[in-house]
Amino acid sequence: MRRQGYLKDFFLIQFTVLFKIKTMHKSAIFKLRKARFLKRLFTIKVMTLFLLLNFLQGKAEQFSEIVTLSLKNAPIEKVFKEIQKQTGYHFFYNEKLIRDAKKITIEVKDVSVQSVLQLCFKEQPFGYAIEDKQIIIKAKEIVPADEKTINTVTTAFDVTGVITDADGKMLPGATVRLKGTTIQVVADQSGNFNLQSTATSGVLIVSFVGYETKEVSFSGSGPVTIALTLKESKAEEIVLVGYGSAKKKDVTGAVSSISSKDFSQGLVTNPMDQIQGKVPGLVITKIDGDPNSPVVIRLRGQTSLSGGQSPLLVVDGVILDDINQIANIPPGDILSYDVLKDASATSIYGSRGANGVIIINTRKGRAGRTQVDYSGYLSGSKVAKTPGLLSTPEFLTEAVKLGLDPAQLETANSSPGTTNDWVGAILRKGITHSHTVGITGGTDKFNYRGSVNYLNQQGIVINTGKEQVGLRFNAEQKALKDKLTIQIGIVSSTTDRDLVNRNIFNYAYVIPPYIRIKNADGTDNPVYQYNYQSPVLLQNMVTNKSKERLTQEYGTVNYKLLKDLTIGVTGSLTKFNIQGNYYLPVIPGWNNLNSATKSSSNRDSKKGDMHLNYLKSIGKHNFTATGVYEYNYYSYETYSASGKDYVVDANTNNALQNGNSSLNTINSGKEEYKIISFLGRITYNYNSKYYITGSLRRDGSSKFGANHRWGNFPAVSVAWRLKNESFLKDVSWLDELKINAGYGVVGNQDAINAYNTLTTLSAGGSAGGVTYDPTSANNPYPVGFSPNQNPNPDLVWEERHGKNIGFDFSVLKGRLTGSFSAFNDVTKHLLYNYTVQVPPNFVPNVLANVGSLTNKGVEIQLNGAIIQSRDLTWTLGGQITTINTRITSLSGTWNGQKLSTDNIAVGQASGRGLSSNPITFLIVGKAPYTFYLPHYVGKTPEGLSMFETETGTTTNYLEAKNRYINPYPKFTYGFTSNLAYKNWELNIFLRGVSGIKIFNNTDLNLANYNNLPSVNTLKEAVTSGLKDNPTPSDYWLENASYLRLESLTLSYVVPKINGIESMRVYLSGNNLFVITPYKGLDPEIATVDNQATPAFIDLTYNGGGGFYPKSRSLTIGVNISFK
Amino acid sequence: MKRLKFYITLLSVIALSLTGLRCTKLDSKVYSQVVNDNFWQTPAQIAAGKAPAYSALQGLGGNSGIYWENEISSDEMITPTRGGDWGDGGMWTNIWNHFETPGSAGASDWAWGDIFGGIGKCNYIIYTLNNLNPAPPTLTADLAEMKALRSYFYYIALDLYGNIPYVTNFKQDPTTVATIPRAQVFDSLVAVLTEALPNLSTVTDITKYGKVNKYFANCVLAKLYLNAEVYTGTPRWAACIAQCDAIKEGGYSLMGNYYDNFKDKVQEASTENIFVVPYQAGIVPAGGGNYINVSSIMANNANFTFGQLGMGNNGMSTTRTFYKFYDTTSSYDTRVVNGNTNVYRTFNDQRTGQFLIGQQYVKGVTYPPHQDILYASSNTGKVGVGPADPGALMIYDDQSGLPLSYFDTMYLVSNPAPYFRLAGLRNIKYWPEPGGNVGDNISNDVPVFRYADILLMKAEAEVRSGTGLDDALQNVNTVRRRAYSGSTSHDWGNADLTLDNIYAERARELAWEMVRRQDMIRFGHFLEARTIPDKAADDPDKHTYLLPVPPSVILSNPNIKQNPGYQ
Repeated sequence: MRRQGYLKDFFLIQFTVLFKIKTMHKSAIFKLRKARFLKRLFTIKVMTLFLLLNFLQGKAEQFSEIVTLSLKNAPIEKVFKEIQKQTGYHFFYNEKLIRDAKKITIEVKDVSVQSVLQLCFKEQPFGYAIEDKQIIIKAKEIVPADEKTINTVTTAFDVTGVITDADGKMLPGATVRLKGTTIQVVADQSGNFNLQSTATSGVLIVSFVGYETKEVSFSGSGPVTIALTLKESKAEEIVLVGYGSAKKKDVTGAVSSISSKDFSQGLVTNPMDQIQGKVPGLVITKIDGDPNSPVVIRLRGQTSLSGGQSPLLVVDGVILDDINQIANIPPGDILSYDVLKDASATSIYGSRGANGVIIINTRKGRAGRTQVDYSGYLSGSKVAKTPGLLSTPEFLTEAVKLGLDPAQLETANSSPGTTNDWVGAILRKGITHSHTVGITGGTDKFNYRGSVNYLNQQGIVINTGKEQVGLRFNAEQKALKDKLTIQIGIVSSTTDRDLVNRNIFNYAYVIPPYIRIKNADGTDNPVYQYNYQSPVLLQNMVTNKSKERLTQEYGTVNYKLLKDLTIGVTGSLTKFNIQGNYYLPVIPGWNNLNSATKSSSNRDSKKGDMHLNYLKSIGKHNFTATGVYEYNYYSYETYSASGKDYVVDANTNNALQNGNSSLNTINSGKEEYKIISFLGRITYNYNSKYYITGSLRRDGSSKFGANHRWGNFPAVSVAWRLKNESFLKDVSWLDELKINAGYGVVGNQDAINAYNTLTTLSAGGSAGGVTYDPTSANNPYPVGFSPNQNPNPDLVWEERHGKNIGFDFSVLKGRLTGSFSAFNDVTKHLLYNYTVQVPPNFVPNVLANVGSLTNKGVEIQLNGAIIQSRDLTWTLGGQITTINTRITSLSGTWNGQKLSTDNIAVGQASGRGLSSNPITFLIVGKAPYTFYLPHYVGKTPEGLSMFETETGTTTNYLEAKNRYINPYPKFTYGFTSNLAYKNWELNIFLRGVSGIKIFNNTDLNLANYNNLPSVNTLKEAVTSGLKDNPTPSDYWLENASYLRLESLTLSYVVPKINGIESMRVYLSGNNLFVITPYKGLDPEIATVDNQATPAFIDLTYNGGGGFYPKSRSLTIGVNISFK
Repeated sequence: MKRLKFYITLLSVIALSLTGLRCTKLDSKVYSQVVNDNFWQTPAQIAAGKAPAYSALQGLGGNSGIYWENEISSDEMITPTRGGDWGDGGMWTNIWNHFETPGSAGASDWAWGDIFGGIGKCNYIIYTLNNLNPAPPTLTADLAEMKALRSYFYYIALDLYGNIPYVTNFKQDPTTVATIPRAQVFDSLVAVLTEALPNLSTVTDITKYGKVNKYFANCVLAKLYLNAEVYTGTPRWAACIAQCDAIKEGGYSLMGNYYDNFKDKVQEASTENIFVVPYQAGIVPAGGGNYINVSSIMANNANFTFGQLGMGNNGMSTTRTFYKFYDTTSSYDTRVVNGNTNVYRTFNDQRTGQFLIGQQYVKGVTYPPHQDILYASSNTGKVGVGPADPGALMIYDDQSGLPLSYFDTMYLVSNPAPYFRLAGLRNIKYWPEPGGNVGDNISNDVPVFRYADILLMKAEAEVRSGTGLDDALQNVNTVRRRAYSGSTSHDWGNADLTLDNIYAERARELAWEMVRRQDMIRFGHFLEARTIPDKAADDPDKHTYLLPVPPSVILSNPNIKQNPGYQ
C-alpha cells in the first residue's frame, strides 16, 4: 500500500489517470472517443471512488475481489455495472466498441473478477485489460500479417501448463500465445491453460497486464509452469508529495522513493538503517555501534549553522515532533519512504521544510481474506575493530626506558607479566532477536491492519542494549454510499534501554595493562585512579537505564461534498515520554557516596487540520487545488530529582527521599509553542506533457515577536514529459524522459526556542546564579534571577531558497532507468549566535538572522537490469551525490549594531593538555568546519614535530604557517547488486564516502608517548617516534574515505507448502568489511556539530563523545505469510 | 438532496472561517522562566534580582580568566606543562612568559567576558531598579550597592586592560560605546564610589557576609589610589591612607590563626575578611565551587593526605624563587605514633605552611597546616600504587610510580619527564575539608579584601609618601606578629621598613590572593627576567602591563581599540 494519511489529496492521481485514458495516442491498439459531457462527469465521480478504494486497498490486491453474478441474457453494460458495484472496478470503454457485444448468461458464486471477466469476454469480439482498478475494454489484438503467414497447421498438440506469479501464486487471466501464430488462450481461474499447438515444440508468449511478458519454450513433455514477474515501471510508482500523492511521472519536484523491496536487510533495528546509502543526497550516519545511539540524518548537506538540520519526518501523515521518535517505529512495519529533497517539493511544509522531508508510509489493511504475516530474525554481533594498545611487556619496556622500576608498578593490584585485556573485558558477543506479527483483513467497506513487534538487542558492550515492544493498529471505514471515509490509527511502543557510561571506553584504553581486571575472589577489581576507573565495574554496578514510551493516535475523516470537492479533517495526538533511571551504589574501595536520579520528560503535541480538495478537468486541461488550515500545539515538560547518601543500596532510585536530604536536588521545566498555517497548492497539466505546480504556505509561530510571526513560503515547479511529444513518440528504445525544474522557499525555526524574543529571567544556573546567605537556615543558597539572553524580537525564520533541475529517464523497456538532479540552495537569514558587545548588551551573543550559506550539488541514480532471463536475473543500481557547502556571509546588523563574525572557532582538539585548541572554523568563503592547522613536515631526531613556516620549518607550532583544509567529502555513494536464480537471491549493498577528512583526535591522545607510563597508549605512540606534547596539526588529519560492505543477503523463497501462503528465509551479514586508510576505529563519525561530537573531529576516546565500537553481525531471518 | 448539500457546504464554510479566525492566535505561555515585567515586585524578588551581580564574581574562586591572569602572569604561580597535561596549546606557559597575543589569549579573553558580563548585569539591575514604579523604599541603598559592585568589576578591568569602554547605562546606544583612556576611567570610578559611600551600609556582621557594604567601597577606592600612579601617572598616597583609615572604622582585626580566614565555616566568623566571595561545593556557583586548591595538588595527595577522592588536577604550582620569600625555619618533634617513629615539623611563620614541599604522607598534614606536618617516618609502606599495606604512610604518584614528593627546582616550563609531574610547590591555603568535595570543588569562601592587606597597603602608602612611619611599622608588625603566632621576636625595626621588604611581606601574606601581578607592576618588578624556571625580560615598552583586548570584542565594535603593543 503506497497511499495513506491525507486522502484528501487523491485528486492528483485521479486527474492523471483520467488524462491517460483521455489522451491515448491514435496509434495505440485501442482508442477511446471523447465521451459525452455527462459521461465524463460520471467517470470522474466513479474514478474518485475507485481511486479512493485503490489507495486503501492497493495494487497488490487486484485479484482478491470476489463476485457473485446471476444474469440471463443481460446486456454487457449490466454485467459491468454489477461487477463495478461488487468490486469497485470500473469499466472504460468506447460505446462503439461494445455495440456488437453478445448478451451474457452467467451464474457464478464467489469467484474472482478475473474469472468472471474471462467468462464474459470469451465470446465477445473485444478484449479487456486491467490496469490498477480499471478495466479497459479494447479491441482484440490484431496479429501482424507476417506472423499469420507462417501459420500452417499440421497436427494438433496440447500444450498445458500453469501460470503463476513470482511467489508461486496461481495467476488467472494471462494470455498465452504460440509464437509465430495467432493461436492464443487465456488461463483459467486457477491459472491453468490448454493450448492447441501445431507443433510439439515451440515458444509460448505469456502476457498479462501488470506483468512482464515472458517467452517460454516447450517441447512435448508434460505441463509447463510459467512464473511471471511484476512489471516494474518506476514512472508508474505513486509517490507521496506532502498533503497528497502523485504518480512518479507527474511529480515536478525532486523526490526519491524507496520501497520495501529495496530495503537493507539483516540487523536492522532503526527504520533509518534500512535506507542508509540508498537515496542520493540523503546521508544517514550511525555515529557509533550503540543500540541506543540516534542516527544522524542530513539531506542535501549542511543547511544551517545553529538551526536543526534533521529532515522533517512524516509518518502516515503525522509529523514526528522529535526525530529520535523514529527509533520507536518497528522497521518491519514500514512499506516505503518518499524523500522530498528540493525546496519546491518541501515548501508545502513551509517553516519546517528547510532540511527536506521524509514521508514514511507504514503497512495498511487490505480487503480480502485475513492474512497473517510473521517476520523474525536472530542476529549475532561482535566488535568490528579494537584499538592496538601496548601489551604489558611492551608497556614495561617503555616504563623502564622512562626510568621506572617495573617492580614498583607491579604490585598486588596487578597481574605481573600478564596483559589484561580491558577492552575485551567490556565487550561481548551480542545477540539480537526481533519478531513482528501482522494481521490484515477486511471488506471493501472496512479494512484493518494490526501488528505487534518485539525487539531485543544486546549491545556488544556488557550491560547495554534495548528491548522494544510496539503495537500499531490502523483501520478504515467507508460509509454514506462511500462518500464518507474514516481512518484511524493507534501507535504505542515502549523501549527499555540499558545505557552505556561513555567514559568507560577511555578508561578501557588507558588503564595500564598490568592492572588486573578481577580480584582473586572473582570480584571486579575496584580500580579508581585520577585517569581511570574500572570500566567493567562501572558497567556492572551502576544502574543507567531509560524507558521511552511513544503513543500516537490519529484519525482522518473525509467527505465528498460535491463531485469535484472533498472536505476533511485530520487530527493527531502524540505523547512521548522518556524516563531516566540512575543509581550509583557504594562501591567497595571507592569510599564514594551512593547517588540516585529519576527523571522524566514529556514531549507532547496536538495537531489538527481542515482541508479542501478540488479537481477539475476541461479538455486536455487538468487542474487540482488544495487548501489546508493547520493547527499545531507543542509542549515540553521535564522534571528530575536526585538524592545522595543512602543507608542501603537495595532501593536504588525508587526511594529518593531516604538519603541525606541536604544533598537532594530537584529540577523541572516547561515550555510550549504553537504553529498555525494556511496552505494552498494548485497543479495544472496539459495533456500529460506540460506540468506546473504552485504552492504557497503561510506559517505563524508563537516563537516570534508580534511583528514577525507570519512568514510566507512560496514554491513553483514545472515538468515536461518529452516522451509524450510526437518527435519522441516513436523512439522505441526510450520509455520515458521527463525534465523538471523548481524553485521554492522553505524555513527553519529549530534553532529558535519558544521564548527567544522575550526578555525572560532564568533562575539559578549560569544566568541567575546561586549565592550564599549564612543567616538563613531554611534557604542558605538562594538563587538569583537574571535575563538569560539578549531578546531578539526581530527574529524571523531562517530561509532556504532552493533551485533544482533534473531529469528522469527509462530506456530499453525499463532495462536502464535513472535520474539526475542538480541543485543550488541558498540559506538566507542564517541563524547564529553572533557576538555582540557587553555592555550594553546583556550576554555576549545574540541569536540573529544575519548570514547566509550556499549548498550546490549533483545527485545521480542509475538502475540497470543486466540479465533478465527466465531463471536468472541480475540488476545493478547505484547512486552518487556530491555537495559543495560554502558560508557566504556571517555579518550584518542587528538592532543598529554591527554583527561581524567572519572567523568563528567551532571545533576544538581536546584531551589531556588540549584545552583551548580551536581547529575548525566558520569562515566566510569556505566550507563550514574548515580546518586551520599547522602543516607537519617531519620530525627532529629528538622526536619533535616540525611544521611549515613562511620561510622554513619550526618545532613551535605557534610559529607555524597554518593551512586551511576543507574536510567535506568529494562524494558519497551507494551500490547494490541483486542476483536472482530461481528461488535464490543474492543481494550485495556497498556504500562509501570519498575524500572526507577526519581529525583523529583519539590518536592524538592515545598515541602520545608522553602519556606513558601514567596510562597505556596505542602501539603507535612507541612506533611513530614522536615525543612532543599533543599538538594539533595536519599530521592527525586523516583521509577517512571508506567503502563499507553494508549488507550481504542470501535469501531463498521456499516452494509452496500447504497452509503457508509464502515463505522466505535469508542469511545476512552486516558491516562485513570496511576498506579505509583511516587509522581510527571507524571512519564514519558524526560530521555535524553538536555538543558531544564536534564535526569532523574523532573523539572516540572522549567522555560524552566516547565511541561505542561498531559491530559486525550475522543474521538469519524468515518471512512467512499465512492466508 | 441538493438543499442538504447546500447546507452542509454553508455550514462547513462558516465553521472553517470561524475556526480560522479563532485559531490564528499565536499566544504561548511562559512556564519555567519569568517574564521580566512580572518580576521585581517584592523585596524578595528585588534581592533575587540583585543576586546575579554577586554570582558574577564567583569566577574569582580559581576557575576563571581573572584569577589566572592575575596569578600566573606573576612570579607566585606557574602552571607548567607536564607530559601531555596542561599543554593546552601553550596557554598556561604563555601567561607565565607574558607571551599572550590577541590571537592566542584564552584566559585573557575569558577574563574580559567575566568582567564585562558582571558590569552588564549591574547596569541592567540599576536600570531596572530606577524604573520601578512605585520605587522600592530601599532604592537609594540598592543603587549605591550595585554601583559599588560595578565599580569593583571596572576596577579589575582598569587594572588588567587599562583602556576600556565605560558603560553605565543599560540603554546606551551600542554604536556610541568606545574605548576610554585609563585615567578617565579612574576618575569616573572614584566619582561613582565616592558618591555611593554615604548610601552604603556600615553593617559588618554576618548579615552582610559576601555583600557590599561601605567598607567594600572604601577597599576599592584604597586599591585605586594605591595604584593611581600606575593608572594615571599621579600618585595618590594620602587618599589611599584616608581610605584605609575609613576601613579601620569598620572595627576589623586580624584573626589569631592565619588559616581561619580561609577555612570553610570558620571563616564566616572572621573579623579580618572585609569582603568574601562565598562558595559551596557543588552548589555555589551552580554546580561548582572553590577550585584553587584542587587545581594545585595531585590526586593521591588529595586522596590520602586530605581524604578527598578523585580530586587533584596537578596544575597550579609555586616556584623556588617565590618560595624563597618565606621563612622556612621550623621546629621538629619526634614522636612514636602507631608503632612508627615519626618526625613532625612546625613552621615558625604560619604562612609558610600554605605550601606543600617534600614527601607527602597519609594524613600527614592537619589543620592548621603550618604545624605538626609529618616530615619523616620509619614507616615506608607505599600507598597510591597498588593496594596499600595496612598502615602504610608514604604516598606514591599512581601515574609516574614515583614517591609523591614535591620539589621546587623547576628549570623548564614544559617537561614530559615523569618526575616533572612532581615539580613545583602546591598551595593548601584553602584547607580542604575531608570528604567535603564535590567534583573538583571545595566549599572555602575566597576573601577579596582582607584587613591584613589593608594594613600592608597603608604601611606602603605611608612609606612611599614618607608620612606616618610609626603607624606603618605598627601595622606591618601587627601582620608579622600574627604570622609568628604572637611572637614579637620577628618584629621589624625602622630600618626594615623599606619598599623591598614590604614587597616581600606582601608576597608572604597575600600569596595566591590575586594581588601579586598588581604588586609586581607597582613595585616595578613585573618586566624583569626570572629564573628557575627561566623567563626572559619583557619588552621595556611596558605593553605587557596591559592584556590584549579580545579580538571578538573589537570585531563587534570597531570603536574599541586594541591596547598598544598588541596591534
